[in-house]
Amino acid sequence: MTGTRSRYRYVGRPMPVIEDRRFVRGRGRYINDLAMPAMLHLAVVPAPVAHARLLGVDAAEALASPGVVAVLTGADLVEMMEPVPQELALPEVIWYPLAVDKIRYAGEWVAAVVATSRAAAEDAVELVVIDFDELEPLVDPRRAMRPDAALLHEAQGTNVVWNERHTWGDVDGEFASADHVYEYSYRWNRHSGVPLETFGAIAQVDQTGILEIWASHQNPDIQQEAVRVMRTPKVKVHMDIDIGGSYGSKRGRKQMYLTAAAAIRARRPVKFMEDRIENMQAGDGHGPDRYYTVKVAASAEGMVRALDIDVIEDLGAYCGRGPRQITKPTSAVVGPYRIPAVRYGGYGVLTCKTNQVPFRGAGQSPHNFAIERTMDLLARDLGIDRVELRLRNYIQPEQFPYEIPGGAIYDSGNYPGAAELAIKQARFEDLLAEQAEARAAGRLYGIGTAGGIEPGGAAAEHGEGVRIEVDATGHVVATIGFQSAGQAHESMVTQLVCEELGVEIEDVIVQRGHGLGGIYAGAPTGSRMTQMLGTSIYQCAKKVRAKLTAIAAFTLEVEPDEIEIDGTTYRVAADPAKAMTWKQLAKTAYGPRLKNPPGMEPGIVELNVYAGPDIVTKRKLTTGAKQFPTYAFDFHVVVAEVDPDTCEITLRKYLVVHDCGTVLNPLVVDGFVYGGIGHGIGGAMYENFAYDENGQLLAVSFMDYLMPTAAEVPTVELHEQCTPTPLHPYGAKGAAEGAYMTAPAAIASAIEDAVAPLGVRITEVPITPQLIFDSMMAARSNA
Amino acid sequence: MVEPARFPITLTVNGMPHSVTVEPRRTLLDCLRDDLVYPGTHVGCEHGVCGCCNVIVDGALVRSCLMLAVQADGADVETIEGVGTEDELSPIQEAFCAKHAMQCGYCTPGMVMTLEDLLRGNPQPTEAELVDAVSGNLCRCTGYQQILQAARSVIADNAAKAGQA
Repeated sequence: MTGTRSRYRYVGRPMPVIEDRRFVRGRGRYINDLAMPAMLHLAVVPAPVAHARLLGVDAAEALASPGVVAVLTGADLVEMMEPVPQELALPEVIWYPLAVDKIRYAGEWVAAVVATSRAAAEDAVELVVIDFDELEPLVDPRRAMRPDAALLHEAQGTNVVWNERHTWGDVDGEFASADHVYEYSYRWNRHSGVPLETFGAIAQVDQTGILEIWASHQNPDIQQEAVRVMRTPKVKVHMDIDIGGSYGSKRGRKQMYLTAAAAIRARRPVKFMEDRIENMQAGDGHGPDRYYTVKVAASAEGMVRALDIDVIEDLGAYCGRGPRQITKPTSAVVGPYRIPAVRYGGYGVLTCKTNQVPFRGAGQSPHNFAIERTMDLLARDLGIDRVELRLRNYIQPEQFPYEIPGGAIYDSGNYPGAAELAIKQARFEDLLAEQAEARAAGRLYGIGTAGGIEPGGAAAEHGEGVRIEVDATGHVVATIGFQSAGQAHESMVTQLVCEELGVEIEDVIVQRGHGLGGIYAGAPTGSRMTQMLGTSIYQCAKKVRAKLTAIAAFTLEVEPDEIEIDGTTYRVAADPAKAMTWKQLAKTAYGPRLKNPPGMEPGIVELNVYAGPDIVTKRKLTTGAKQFPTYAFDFHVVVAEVDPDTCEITLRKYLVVHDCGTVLNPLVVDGFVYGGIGHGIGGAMYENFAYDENGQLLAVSFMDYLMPTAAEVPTVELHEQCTPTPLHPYGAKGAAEGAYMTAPAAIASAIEDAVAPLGVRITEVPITPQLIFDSMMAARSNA
Repeated sequence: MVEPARFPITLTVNGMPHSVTVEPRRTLLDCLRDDLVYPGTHVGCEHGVCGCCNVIVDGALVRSCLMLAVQADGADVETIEGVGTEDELSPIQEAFCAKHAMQCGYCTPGMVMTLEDLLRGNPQPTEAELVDAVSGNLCRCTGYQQILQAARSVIADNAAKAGQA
């Protein structure tokens, strides 16, 4: 227990998670559990080929099928709505929920059938006839970049939609004068959040003409966007359901607008619940898909002087929100290292694949993989110990706040401390002895290490709102403006309200709003809500206390600064017998005006929007990436063994030291770390949205998109280090992404160490037995 | 196209008898969720991998997405709604809350049903038996650590009780 925790009644305690009580009984309420009277169901017609000119859609037979109410095509949507907004506003890359004039990836939705049941809709889907003229599929972005490649969006004139190069510091000078220069290449294949709940939406037009949308989305800004896209100010996006996992991937803009258009067309409520294939093929839910080339300049002692990082990002068929993932890593472009000069740039390329979505780290995980792989390979090439090389290059604890190339400022950290704690807790010397023994016995046994930075508090400048009301009986209602996907926000709000107002858990009700509810809210992205919502609650509670203090002072006939607060009791400091209880204060606030200070508004209803610390809101990074207030850190030690015959990989040990500053609720934060590692194991070893040469997705079920089960994830040993941030009232940093960002690098490090005696280097994920086998064969033939 | 034929079935869910008419292609999962309105059983993959839809049918753990509703004619079905009550959770549910063995809660009903099924038949499974059982359910949030911690705490309690008896 650290000193910072004991100051608090609630902060730092493993407070039982309020949401869990309903989840264990099956009482969570997800989008698929909602139904409206007379509701219709939607199913989509997927494109059979990856690239084609769309000549026509014949829905006559489908419309005659039992239960079918309507069939929508891209042409219908062009009339009814604006295109779906994208990260890069390119006038010729136009995106509608249904294909309009071209099919741009296999599985793209070409038509939507609306019927009285999902089964009736699916029956009719098979009767829709698509007429198309097939074109060259664009599967490899390196091919799609070439001037002679077919064009996905002809009017755009190129498949390259992002091409920037940023130089910070004397990159050329450092490379020219470096003792050593190395170049490494990496491949990060597509995987993603893949929540167990697919995306779903329900839309209807209510009795007042307002378009209502419920969906398993994580983005309250849909409210504003829907107003523009659906061409009506009368939109109400609800935000009060449970989301069955997101990890950033539950954005579903296309799905919501398609459902809304269907509800308007059918004049009845419509539900669209993706099935698994719809979700995997065309749900716009895939993660980064990258080719890296990293050049590194280093001194003889292994001090990294410069990095030159080149990225080719396969964005999929439309820009969507994917390009954000290319620039986001520049908020921590050097990782935890003191590297004075960096060049970062590359290409974002459109291909015949479903769109990317910014998920869990928004591109930071592959970036960290590239940085940490580079540190390992550099250590091997220079003959310096991997851990020692990192320790030499780490930003030191006394150097914070630390500005990195590109302008991002790290708030605080103790990277050597975390690394050394991990080495100690893992009994690294013993591991090395075990490895020597195993190798002597012919076993492929490796130890891996990696550290990683987690920027926390995304989009701070967009603010986060909360409304706290204390009713006349003293109960507290806290209203927030977004819905959660497992981050235990209700529990955090309750915990902090109790901390700041002195009330008990049973006295607090947490409500979620809707788009017309007057709560300014951002999305729970970029490990944001502890930083942003947490601070907003802290500030809002202060307003509530100020009002209660004014009432107490007026009633007790003293000045407000003579009042001291002890839990829920407000009393005169100099005369503690003169006091008001919480219930008396609440009753007074709603009581006769004569009993309240002159001019005071009746009731206790305070609204607060926290707009982030100045250090963030007054700066912008040159890449356009968001500046983050806080930077957490974790360091992983992994032991992996590779079967020399089958190349099967087993993780024998997993240890992590995690430092996100003050931990508000260890039950929750531990879960994020464990879950992030599980997710990282999936990305590092199993998960791959692979496409064949014709652009057909090969992983369209959980039989071929392999996610780790309890049998694959080893027991994780978790240790905490606590370096509080000065930029948060409790010293807390973001926590939900870091472990996922670091795990693939650490696992690759361990597997490489296992097979290093065979001359194999690991530069690609997922690291499958096939990849290892092929690498072994290649190493053997090169030898 | 003609309307598909429907067949009458009767089944008991959490002790409550139900009679319903279903298309033969309708899964037990569809029937439970949409016809009989037991929404705690969740739709995950609909091809038998993830375990979100696990229920207990005549004492056996079943993927309700892989069983047709007509196959459940005459069956005794237990869903998450039949496990524990608001005031008295089952020991597994209680342990899941104590260890925060979930995040989004979507896989949780299926996970609880798996562990109910395991521990009813075998109150003190070995670690290998436990991991084998849990590995039939996917969870994307937790990395399984707190789920296994919760299950181990129940198993330890079971062992302590057996020791006292």
